[in-house]
Amino acid sequence: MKRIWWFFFCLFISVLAIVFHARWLPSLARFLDVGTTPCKADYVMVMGGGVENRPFTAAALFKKGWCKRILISEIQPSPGNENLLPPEHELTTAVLRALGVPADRIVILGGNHAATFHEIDSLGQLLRREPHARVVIVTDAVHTRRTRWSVRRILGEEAARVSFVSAPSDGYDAATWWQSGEGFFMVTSEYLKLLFYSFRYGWGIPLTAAGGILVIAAIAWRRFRQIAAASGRSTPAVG
Amino acid sequence: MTTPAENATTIDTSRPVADRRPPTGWGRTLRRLVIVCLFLFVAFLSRALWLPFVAYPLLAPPPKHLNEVTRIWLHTHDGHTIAGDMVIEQTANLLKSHPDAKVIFTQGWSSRLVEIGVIPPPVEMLRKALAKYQIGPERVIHLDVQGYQFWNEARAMDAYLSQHPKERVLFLTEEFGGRSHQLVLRSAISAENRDRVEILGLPDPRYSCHNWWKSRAGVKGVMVGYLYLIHTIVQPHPEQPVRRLSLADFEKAVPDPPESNQ
Repeated sequence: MKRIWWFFFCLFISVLAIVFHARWLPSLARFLDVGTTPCKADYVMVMGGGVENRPFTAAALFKKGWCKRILISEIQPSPGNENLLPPEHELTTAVLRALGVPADRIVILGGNHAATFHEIDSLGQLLRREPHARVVIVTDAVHTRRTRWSVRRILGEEAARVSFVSAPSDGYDAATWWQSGEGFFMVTSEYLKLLFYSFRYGWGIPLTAAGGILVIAAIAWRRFRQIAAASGRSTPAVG
Repeated sequence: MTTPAENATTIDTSRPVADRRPPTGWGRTLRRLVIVCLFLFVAFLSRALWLPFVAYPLLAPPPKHLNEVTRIWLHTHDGHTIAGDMVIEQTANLLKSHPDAKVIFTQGWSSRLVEIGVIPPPVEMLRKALAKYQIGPERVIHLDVQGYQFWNEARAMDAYLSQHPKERVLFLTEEFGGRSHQLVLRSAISAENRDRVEILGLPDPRYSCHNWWKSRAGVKGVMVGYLYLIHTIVQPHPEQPVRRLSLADFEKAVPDPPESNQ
């Protein structure tokens, strides 16, 4: 009987979630966006993977005087596209140059990066070389939370010198992200990547192990109580 | 007259006590735990047998009329990269084996990089890349698309096929994007033209459906494939026009610094 009630309860919650999806789905995207208004910095860092929007926001920040230089990380090229396009950092440099950023204000962070975590690692090296530098990181709105997580994880106290600005994205916005393939992909994959990062680089494995131990302990405790109750019931009959 | 309980007791006494009672308490829990662990262990050992099945739903059925292809359809979803891994090499090989075939190129997005002159239009890049394989530019047809996204590209292809009833098209795309593209094609292309479009999924050089779990790129590829497949099943065609930002939008999104800081 209990199971039936649980089933109906879950069904009811699911129906509510579907009917009112437009109320709660935007908050999933907004949770990922931890970007703030810009602050004056020595560098604006353009994260790799968004050559269609991130350099444009970085150039706007530079032109309006928010920063002195722009940092670009070298990105590992995709294997299938080498015939058509130059590497992404070269494309980003070309975009910035076309938008009026002087070449001597563009700094390349070498390292053939393949992931956000690697880019932040290289940024950490730069911050150690320049102990007073402040950096604004420009990336897609939904990517800012994972980037901030990586910054705090790698840089520790130095993370206070880094702030985040969200670049607007084509194709979707936080209010209607699930209606476009791009938006759906960006938001859902960010949650999966956050999960992956917590396992690969964070406390995910120990926390899962601790959770597993707690679950086993709870099952054991329940079983112990069942056995105790059963033996309590059977004792008078034996007597 | 005996009660059912007494009957049961009478019957059970003929069997050994260990058989009569099911394992209770810790014994049953331990047995279940051992079964789960054993199952996980066997699943881990035999992963090469069952993990390919995880990727199979992402794949489009292999083309049946490869020899009859007259048009090879390439597209870009971001306006600057041609979809499909090693797509140029594959296209060149197909064009050489099908001397009468031509490439049809469609764009699902208009790149801002092209707009500001950083890169040439993708169709020009495609012609230049194919020229390295001795494929002439006259063998690449640029098909205009009204609007953005793959669904509009498919609509444009449908119109083209209606005007060219003898052409048979082979659409090249990423291996793990085959099924989601197939669903869009089924939705966008009319019934009389649908059978003349087939899909060839191009595997990434780093992984395929037989070994995707061995590399990070492969796991990411499966994840991306499933996310797009789920979205395509729920919504095969766009509900509203896609938002495209202008250069001025980026300027507007960045506030001016306060006067005191300048």
